[in-house]
This record gives sequence, structure tokens and C-alpha cells, in this order.
Amino acid sequence: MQNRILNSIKHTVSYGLFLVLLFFCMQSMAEDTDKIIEDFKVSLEKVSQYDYGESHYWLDEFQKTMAGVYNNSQIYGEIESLMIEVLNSDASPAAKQMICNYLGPIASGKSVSILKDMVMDVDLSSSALSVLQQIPGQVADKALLELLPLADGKVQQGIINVLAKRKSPEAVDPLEELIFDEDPHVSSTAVYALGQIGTETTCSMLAKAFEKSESRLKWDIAEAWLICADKMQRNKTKEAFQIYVKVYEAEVPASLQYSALRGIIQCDPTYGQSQLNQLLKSEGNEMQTLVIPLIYHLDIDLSEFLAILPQLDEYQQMQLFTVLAEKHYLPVKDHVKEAVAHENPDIRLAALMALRNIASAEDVEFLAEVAANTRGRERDMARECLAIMKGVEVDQKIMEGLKNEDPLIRQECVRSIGERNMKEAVSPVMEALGDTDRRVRLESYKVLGKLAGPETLREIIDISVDATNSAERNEAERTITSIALKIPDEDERVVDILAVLPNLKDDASLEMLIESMGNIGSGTALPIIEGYLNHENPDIQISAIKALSVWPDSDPMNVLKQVVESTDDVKAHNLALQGYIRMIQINEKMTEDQKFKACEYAFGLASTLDEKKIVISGLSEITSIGAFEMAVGLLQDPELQSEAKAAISNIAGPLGRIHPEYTKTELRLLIDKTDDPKFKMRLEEILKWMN
Amino acid sequence: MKLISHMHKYLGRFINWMILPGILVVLPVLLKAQELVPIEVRLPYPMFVGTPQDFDVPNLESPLGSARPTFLAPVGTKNIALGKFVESTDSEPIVGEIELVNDGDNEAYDGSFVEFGPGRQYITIDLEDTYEIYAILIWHFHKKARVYKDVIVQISDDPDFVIGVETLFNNDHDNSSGQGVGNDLHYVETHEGKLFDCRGVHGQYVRLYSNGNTSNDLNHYIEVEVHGIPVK
Repeated sequence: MQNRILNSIKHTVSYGLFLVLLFFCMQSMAEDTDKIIEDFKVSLEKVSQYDYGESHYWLDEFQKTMAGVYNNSQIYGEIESLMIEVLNSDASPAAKQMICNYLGPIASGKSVSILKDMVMDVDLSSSALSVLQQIPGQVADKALLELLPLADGKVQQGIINVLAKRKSPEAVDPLEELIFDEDPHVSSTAVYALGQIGTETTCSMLAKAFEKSESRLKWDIAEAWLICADKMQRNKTKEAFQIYVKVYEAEVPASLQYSALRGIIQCDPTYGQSQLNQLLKSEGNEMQTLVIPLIYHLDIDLSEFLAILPQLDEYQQMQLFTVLAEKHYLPVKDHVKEAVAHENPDIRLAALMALRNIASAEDVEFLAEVAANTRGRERDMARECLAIMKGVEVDQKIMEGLKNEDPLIRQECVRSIGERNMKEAVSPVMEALGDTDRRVRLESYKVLGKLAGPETLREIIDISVDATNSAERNEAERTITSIALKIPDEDERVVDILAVLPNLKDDASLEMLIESMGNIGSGTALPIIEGYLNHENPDIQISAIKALSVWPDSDPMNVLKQVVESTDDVKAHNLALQGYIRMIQINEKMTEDQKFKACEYAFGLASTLDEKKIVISGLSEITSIGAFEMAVGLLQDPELQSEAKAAISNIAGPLGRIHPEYTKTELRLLIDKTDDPKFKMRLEEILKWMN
Repeated sequence: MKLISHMHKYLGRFINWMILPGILVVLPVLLKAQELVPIEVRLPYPMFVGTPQDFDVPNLESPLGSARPTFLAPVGTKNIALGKFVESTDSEPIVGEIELVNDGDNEAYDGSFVEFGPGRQYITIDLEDTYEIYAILIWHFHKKARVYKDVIVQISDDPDFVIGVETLFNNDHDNSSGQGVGNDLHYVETHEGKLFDCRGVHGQYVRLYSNGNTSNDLNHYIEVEVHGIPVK
């Protein structure tokens, strides 16, 4: 009992709360509605004063207000009345047009009267008609039909078009009277309107007119009649078919014959196919090129078209095999493959595109051959075919292709394995690293870099150390780096490389692996690479410097500095200096001033003009007063003047953001001093930009 | 004394008689070695006509207004870069493959060019032997008119381009590539490509720098040809 009382209290309180909330919501909505109307009045007032060439500000505001109006259907009536007031006023045509643009969706019968007056005004006719088109009910139809005989020219055409859009049944008879109007534009519009209305009545009206008319008007009627037929096609296929046949057999332009034949095919595919065959067999018919794509819509035996194919001209053949291939009609494949070797590049390309739809495992070798022996888009298309063909059989054929006697085909097959991401083919591709042809070996390294996992790394290293030329070693270096970088643990990445280092027989392979370790950038390898800086073979020393120079972070910075300080070898000095400058640039711990100090020190170590230029290039990336002053100081050196000017120009911009007053003063001084007009102009530009 | 004088005189005449025919025999051979013929360049189909003038690029070369004159080089000079190994600072091109740089296809259609990443990039062609190089032809991209920035063309026998580097062209006006400021002019890419006169410089490696272009920050190559003869 007590629970029941408690429950009923709970329900009463909940209901009460709901009512209170509903009340507040409704009050808030009422407030919102009032605000919308107020805002609307303000913007309408402004828009009513608008004329062409004036600011669009209030037009934009009006548009925003109307967005609020459209969401509140209860205020449509009030808003419509306010708009009608302006349309009745002496507002400019521009203002009235603007209002009409927004009146349509909310207009009702009460707008018809003023709109009817506006229709006869050439300036406002189209705006008024666009609103009338949207007003539901017969009031608008009635007004339009009253206006129809009174109007002429473009206004009359506009009324006819609106009647057509509204599919007004009362308009049919008046429109029939206009079919043979003196004004060809009016008669053409009326005919089109009857087609758009598309009832049985309009259809028979058009049929009669079609028999009576000639040339241009006959074509217009045929077009409208076809529109009627398209509408009837589903429910009254027989009647529609008859219309299509009549138009197809009449003397009308090819485009209409095409539309008619399309309709025939849709209504009666067998008859359509026979007509299509006849057309394709007839010589010199301009319709042939137009109708070939219609075959795509036929779901019947396509063998007859295949028989016709050799009789067509080369472009029509191209069209036909493209359509047949799109329908996956496999017997056309031989023709398509033949066309791949055509002398016309457009036909070759179209054939390859068609092959994408019908190629299968048996075509792998053919496509690989095409890819190997063509260029540009043809090669791309052949490769794309190889890449997108589905099926295990295709994979199998591609792997078989690795044993083809033509090295170019083997190369293409290796490439396809990469494109198709065939991880199961890693082993055969690893075997291809021992191919007799260099191109195949290079391609295999590339593909393995993409597909092979860390478990294969040791084997690939073992194979690559036997590489006999620099091209292969370069590619192998990239492959080893790519695979090693797939190992999540950074310290594990160089384990396989370190394992083979003691047993290497030639220095070229050692160079390759050292440089690879540089790109991998594993901390474990750093002391080992540093050790090679003292190797007896200078080439190994160079490789170690190069490895340290490409290190992903600035850890080897001091080692490189020591090399620059200590080496007498010109090449080692230059490369180590380049590496040191790079380390300065990528160092995230150093401040700009510290970077400048390091760069200044490097400049002191530079022993040739080329090296000094390298340092100045690095200096120009540093945003510090020190760097700027050093560059200014270098202007005194005639051999480095150009580089100093470039550095000053580079540093000044960013420096100006941090030290604007200092930079401006210095730039003014430089502008006064310099005799170089180009340098002066550049500095003036920077100064202007800073001001 | 007289005898010696006579001997001198006759010996002189004898030497003259021997040298003159010798020169006459050797001269045509020497002349033949120096015979110059036009290098064989097959130009691609032009993708645009004329040279647009609205580039905001300083130091832009004026268009020639006519076809490039024939370039002459010793008999036997041919494209020695075709199919040779090319290395790039960007080992994973955005579009195409590095082999497209020297595959013999200089047309600007899709599928004919390689696109490298943004900023400064360079490619190095290993000619696999030292050659006497007379001309380098570069088609960066001629589908649309554009100017490539900081173009540097170098030849060397050193794969690291430290020792014996011959810089044939440099329009890097701000030394951003660290190769020094270059004073050569920027140029608009056309179907003719850009020909660099190498004057018979010896080298095994060709290095080409670029740093984006007037349309985007990327670097492209449709084709590079290196015309030369083996060093005897």
C-alpha cells in the first residue's frame, strides 16, 4: 500500500516535471519564433531597398534569416504576407527578384494574384513563374492558363514550361493549339511540354502532329514523343515500342534514331539486336559509331557482333571490342590481343584497357611481354592488368614467369609479385637474386625490400655480399635497410649484419653493409662503425664517414667533428664536414647560438673553397645574430661574396621576426654600403616586408 | 766542314721530304677524328605551344623564339646513359620508378615520368665507365610550362662528387644546395629539353640537382640523355 502511494507520488511528480519542461520549451520556441519574425522584418526592410550594384550584405543576412523561417512552418503565412506587401510596393525589380527567390517554398494561393501581375512584366516574369511553379493546387494552374493566350514570345514560352513542369492536365488542350504556332520557339516549347506531361492524351496528340509535320518541327515532335515513350515503357511496352519504331524508321537526325533504337532494344531485345546487326553490316552508315555502345544494354548472345567485328573500321572495332570486353565476353579476347599490337597507339591503349576486363591467368605471359616491350601509358596499363587480375592461378602463372627465358619477362613477373603483394612468393624472388640477368636481380632486391620479413634478412645479406657490381650493392643496401627497419626492437635491427661482418671476403660488401647500418641508425652499430674509421682501407673509412653522416639523429656529431679535425684525406675531410654540418642542422638539443658556434668552428676547419661554401650553406639556416654577423663579415672575401650575400638574405627574414630593430638597422647599413643592385633590391624587399 | 754542311743540307731536305708526306697522310686521319656531326636527339611531342611569361622567377632566360640549333659533337657520340644505373636521394619516388629517368622515353604522357619528394633532391647516373661527355639533355617535365629551381649539373669520376667535380650549370642563386651560388639563368621546361654543353669533360658519374619547381615542391624527370664517347 505504502509502495503504491509512493509510486503514484513519483508518477505525479514526473508528469508535473514533464509538463513544466514542455511549457518552458514551448515558451522558448515562441520566443524564438518572435525573434525570427523580428529579424526577418529588419532584413526584409533592407532588401526591399536593394538595387543592382549595391552591397550584398543584407542579401546575405536575408538568406540567413530565411533559413530560420523554413524551419518554422507555423510562421509561413505571416512571412508570405510580409513578402507580398513588398511585391506590391514600388520596390526595385532587383529587390522583388530577390524576394521571389525565397518565396517559392512557402508560397500559397494568396501569392498568385500579385505573381500573375508580375508574369507579364518582362523583368520579373521568370522570377514570378519560378514561384508559381512551386505553389500547390489548381489556383496557380488557372492563373497560368489565363495568362497563356495573353502572353507572347519568351513570356509565353516561360508559362508553357511551368505548365509542363506542373503537369497540369487542363493545359493539354491549350498546348495542342500551340503545336503549329507561327513562332517556332513557342511551337517547339509546346511540343516539348506535351512530351513532359506524357499522358496517353498528349501521346496521341503528338502522334497526330508527327504525321502532319515536316523537318525541324517533326524532329521536335519526335523528341517529345520519345520522352512520352520512355515514360510508357514500363507499363505499356507495346505502345512505347511502336513509337520507337515509328521514330526510328522516320527521317530524323541520327541522335533521335539512336534514342529510338535504344528504346527498341529495351522493349524488344531480339528485334533490337537484328536492327543493330543490320546497321553494323551496312557500309558507310553514320549511325554505326553512335550505336555500338548500345550493345552494352543487350543481355543476349553476342556472337553475331563478334562475327561483324572484322568488317568494321579500326575505330569501330575498338568501340566494339571495348563494349564486348566490358560485358566480359571472353571470345573477343583474341581480337583484343591482336589490337594490342596495332600501329595506332589509341587502339593499342584501348585494347589494353579492354584486357583488364577479360584477361585471365593464361594471359600473364602475354601481358608481361607487353609491359616489358612498351613504354608510357601502355606499359602502365599492362602492369595494371597484371596487378589487378584476381585468382590463385594468376599468382601461380606469375611465379612460373620467373623461369621464362626472356629476362625482361622475368623482370616484369618479379615486379608484379611486388605490386600484388604476394608474400608467399618471397622465396622464389630470393632465388631470383641469383638470376643471370642484372635487371632481374635489381628488381628482385626492390621487391624483397617491400615484401620480405625480418626472418629472411640473414639470407638476403648472405646473397647480397656476393653482388658483383655497385648498382646491385646499392639496391641491396636499400633492401637490407628496409627489412631491418621492420624489426621493432632497434637493437635487434643490425644483429644479422654484425654476424656476417667478420667473415666478409671483399671490402665492397663491407662498404655496403656499413652504409646500410648508417641508414638503419641502430645505437648498437654506432661504436662498430666508428671502429671502421681507422680501417686500413681508405674506402672503408669513407663508407664509415658516409654511414655516420646519414645517421637519423645527431649522435655521431662529435665523431664526425673529430674526423674533420684529424684527417689529412681530402675526400674524408669533405664528407665528414658535410656530415657534421648536417648533424648541426638536425640537432634538436642545440640552441641557434650553439649551432652558430658549431658552424663557425666548422668554417675554421674548412680547408677548400668548396668546403667553405658547404659551411655557409649550413650557416644560412641558423637564425642568430652571430650567424648574420659572420655572413656580413664574409662579404669582405671576394671568393665567398656571393655565398655571403645569399646567407644574409636567408638569415635576415627569420632573424627580423626575433630581433626586428637590430635586423632593420643592419639591413639599412648594408643597403647604404653595397654596390650590387640585385643584392640591394633583395635587402630592400626584406626590409619592406619587415615594415 | 763542307762535307758536314752538305750532309746537313741533304739531311734537312730528306727530313722535309719525309715529314711533308707524313703530315699529308696523318692529317686526314686527324681531321677525321675531329669531324663534328649533329648529335642524335629525338624530340618528344610538344604538349603546349609558346612560352608563358607569367612566372614569378628571377633571372629567367628569355625564350629563344625558334628551335634549338643543332648541337655538334665528334662522330660516334651517342646517348651513353640509356638504361644505366641511377641513384636518387629519394629512393621511393611518389610517382613512377627511377628507371624512367633514362629509359629512352622523353614523351610527357602519364607513365613517362618519375616524381621525387619535395625540397632538394639529386640523382646520380653511373655511366659504368669514364666517357668524354659532350652534351647532357634533361627533360624534367614538359606537360606544362614550369621552371625547376636550383638546377645543378655536375660530372665527376668520383661517385661521392668530392674530387674532380666539374660543375657545368648552376642556377642555385641562394646556395641552398651547398654547391656555391650559381649565376646561370632559370629556364622554362619545353619539349626540346634543356641541353647542357659539356665540352668533352671526362667522367663516369653525372649528378643532377633540383629543388622543386614553380608549380609545386616536387622534383620530376621524364628523361636524361648523356651524349659522349668512350675515353680512348
